[in-house]
Amino acid sequence: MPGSAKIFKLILLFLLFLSLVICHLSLVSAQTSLEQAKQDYAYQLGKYRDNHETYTKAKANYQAYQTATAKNEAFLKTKEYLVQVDNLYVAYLALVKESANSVDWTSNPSEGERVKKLLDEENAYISNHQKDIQLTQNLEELPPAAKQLQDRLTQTTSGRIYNILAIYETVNVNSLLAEFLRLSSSIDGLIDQKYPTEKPSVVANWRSEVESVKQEAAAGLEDIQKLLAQTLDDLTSEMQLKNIDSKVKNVNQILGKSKSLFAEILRLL
Amino acid sequence: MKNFQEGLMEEEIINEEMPETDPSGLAPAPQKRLIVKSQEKLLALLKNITGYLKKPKIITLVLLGLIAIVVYLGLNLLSRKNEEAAVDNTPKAVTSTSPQASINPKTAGITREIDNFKSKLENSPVDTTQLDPPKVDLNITF
Repeated sequence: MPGSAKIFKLILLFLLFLSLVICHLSLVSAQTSLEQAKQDYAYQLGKYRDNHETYTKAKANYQAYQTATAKNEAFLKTKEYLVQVDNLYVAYLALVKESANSVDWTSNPSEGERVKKLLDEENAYISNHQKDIQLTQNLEELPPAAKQLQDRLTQTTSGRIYNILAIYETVNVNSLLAEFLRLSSSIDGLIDQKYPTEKPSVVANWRSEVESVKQEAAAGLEDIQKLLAQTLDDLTSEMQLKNIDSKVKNVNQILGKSKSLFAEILRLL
Repeated sequence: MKNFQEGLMEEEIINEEMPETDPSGLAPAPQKRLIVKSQEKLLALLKNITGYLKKPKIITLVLLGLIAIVVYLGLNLLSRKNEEAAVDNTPKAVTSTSPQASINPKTAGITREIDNFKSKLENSPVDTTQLDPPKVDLNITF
């Protein structure tokens, strides 16, 4: 029956469509918001590169021919490019903000709030700049608008971002040290339970090793906090961030000794 | 009397055969006819659909579709539940012929915590090297 065959095909098509929708939905729900932010940033970066290329071509064309059409084309492509620069920064700020959710702020929740506030302020500035760009009518308006954004990025945004990244690293090291202290004290308690009177000689050596890790890591963290405190008006330079980064790596290395220390003592328990 | 009744019957037959006319004597509204036709079509379509729905092939396809939706919703619900609870990290009891020392639950707990700590040390939750601000060209001159 031809009618029945038609309906059958239609239902098959519907089922195929349904399975595609379900598959897509499951893939979307499997993504974390951090992964989504990373993907969005990568996409905006690709788009930025394309827009930069078209802007450069339009600019070269205008400089070569100096016609009204070339000027209009240069205006349109430059405007598009500047809008994309703002889009790229919005995606980047979203990624930095999303990364804050991976940091354990329990030791310093107010710092987490401050970081989010700074990021929101930067985001508001970029969004307003984008609106201004969209309102421009001619080519002459674009270079000052670009300069305005560049000044903001170099004088405020970059400094704030480096400061935020330094805070992420410091808070992370702080929480790692706190966890190391908690774990070593729990193990100490277990040792006392298992060996209430006479303890094996290994225990004394283990305790002195743990103590030296504690002291070295605490001293390293203090150095990091001093470096971070040197920043003024929430602005950190790239050099300061690099210094903090190397000190953070150093503390991580010190805390890394705990892996073998814990493994060793667990054999006794 | 008989003639009078015959006249009435004729009138009825004529009324039935004649298309409906407005009291004003104008032709019937085309919209009314369209509504009647579309109602008939709708009824026919409904009958067709109910006919198709009774076919085993169609029933199977509809059932398959419903099963797919139910399975998807079920899996989605399961994945939304506490993920940590879903991962069973408790050490499994291993049956062995040789006598075995009993595992202290506190030791087992601390071992798990040490493993978590190690993974945090190895993989920092935030990789700041991947978060450098983008370098953009804002030297716009004409």
